[in-house]
Amino acid sequence: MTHLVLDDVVDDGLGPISLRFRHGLFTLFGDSLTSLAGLVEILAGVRRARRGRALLDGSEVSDDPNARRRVASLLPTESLLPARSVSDALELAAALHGETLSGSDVLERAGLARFGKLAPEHLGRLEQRALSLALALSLEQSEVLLLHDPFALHALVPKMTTIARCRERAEHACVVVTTPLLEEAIELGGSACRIERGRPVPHAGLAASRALSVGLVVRSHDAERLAELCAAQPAFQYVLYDRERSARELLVFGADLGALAQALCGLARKEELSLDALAPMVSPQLSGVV
Amino acid sequence: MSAWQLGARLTTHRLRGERTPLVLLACVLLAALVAYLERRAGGSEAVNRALERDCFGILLPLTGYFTFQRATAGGRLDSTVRTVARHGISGRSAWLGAALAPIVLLTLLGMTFAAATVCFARGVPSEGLARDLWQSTGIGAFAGAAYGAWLAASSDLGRFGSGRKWMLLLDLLLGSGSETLGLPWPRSHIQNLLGAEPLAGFGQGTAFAVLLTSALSVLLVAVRRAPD
Repeated sequence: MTHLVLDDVVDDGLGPISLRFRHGLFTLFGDSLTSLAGLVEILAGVRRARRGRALLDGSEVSDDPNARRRVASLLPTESLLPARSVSDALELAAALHGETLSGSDVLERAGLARFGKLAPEHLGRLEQRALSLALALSLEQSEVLLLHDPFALHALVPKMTTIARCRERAEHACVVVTTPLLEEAIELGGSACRIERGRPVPHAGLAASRALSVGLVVRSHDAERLAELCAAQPAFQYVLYDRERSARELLVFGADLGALAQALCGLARKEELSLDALAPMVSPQLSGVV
Repeated sequence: MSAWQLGARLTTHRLRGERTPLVLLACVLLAALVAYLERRAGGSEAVNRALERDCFGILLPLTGYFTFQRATAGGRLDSTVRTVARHGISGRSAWLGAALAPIVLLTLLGMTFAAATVCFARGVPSEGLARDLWQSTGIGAFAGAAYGAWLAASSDLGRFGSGRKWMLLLDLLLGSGSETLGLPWPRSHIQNLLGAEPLAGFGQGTAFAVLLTSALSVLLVAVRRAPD
């Protein structure tokens, strides 16, 4: 199973921030698009953080071409690969990711067939991003899909196409989407986390995740170890642990509260870890989150 | 397609514009015009002045700077390469390919500038022109490649590749003197090869070896520094 980890990352306007993603749909939302853009660039291995690392199954993404091959992404600024036509550029990019795709098929699926024969350098910034989004959504074998603010392109790629494809891909891959709007995070579904001043705000993510998942507040002397173990278990959709905020508390999310508690107790018993308290999460009101 | 081929394709694509041939032709014509003016100014040193001061002292380094500005779209070379390396190819190989395209262009430009300068500064036909052309175009090729290597390496420094400006400034300030500080910079050795006052008493063979070694060294260091 794919593990994408942001390990104690500090960069311009970011962090320190540590996040773990497994397969599923995750939305990072917040008012600073610059912070979110930085996060996606670091996760995609396009640039290194000033401190900390982005790891895909233990390999540093920015230093490992094989890890990057497994990541399909939509970055804040995009430029297609040099080629005679958009269609050729998309085919070349797909081939580098180890997939044989027809450029015209990719474009047709996203409703962008009219761009197929144009030269990439004649396209504007929005168009280049829309075409990159079409490519990222089409790369079936990629284990990680990172999309930065894809809904800003709704004029070119319909929002529902992006949402449907993200949900579809989330069944087999780790899908991380950033958006400045909580409403879009809720619309997308999956787990959500608010990034504020470059750091995650755990409880704020609940409003978006409540539609699909329920949460438990867990108090334990071994909270950190427990968080690590939960992150590796498929029963937990999403685990939040912030050592500085509360060293003995973690939040776990899943589809069913009973199954979540059972899995947690089983894990604690097996690993001989203490569990001091378990309480169901009370979802905050949307107005409270905003 | 291999990583270095893709890197080379990226910068070649950026360098190849509708106006590029016109701009390059204008640069060659400028070299020729300056050489012609030197000849009109007279003196037996017209060819040397045109080559040492105008052609390889000003025109080639400036053309090199603008070539890399264009190839990197005014940014860093390593950032340029990341746009292709993100698809899962080796960043280092792509960097090398991306650097090679402008280096090859500068090598050819160095040869063309030298040929135009010699022809217009001496006049055609003239005695010993063929020998002079042979020697000057050879030096032009090495000068273009050396500046290309230094500019490629310095393009990875500074937020928007501002290392290029600093490299040219240091080359101008330190490379023009005959002090030890001028030793690593291409300018002093190119001048030496053209017959100017040698740096630290180096012979032309040594100057050539130092020029080659320093260019290869900075290129190697830059490749090693580039993230894979």
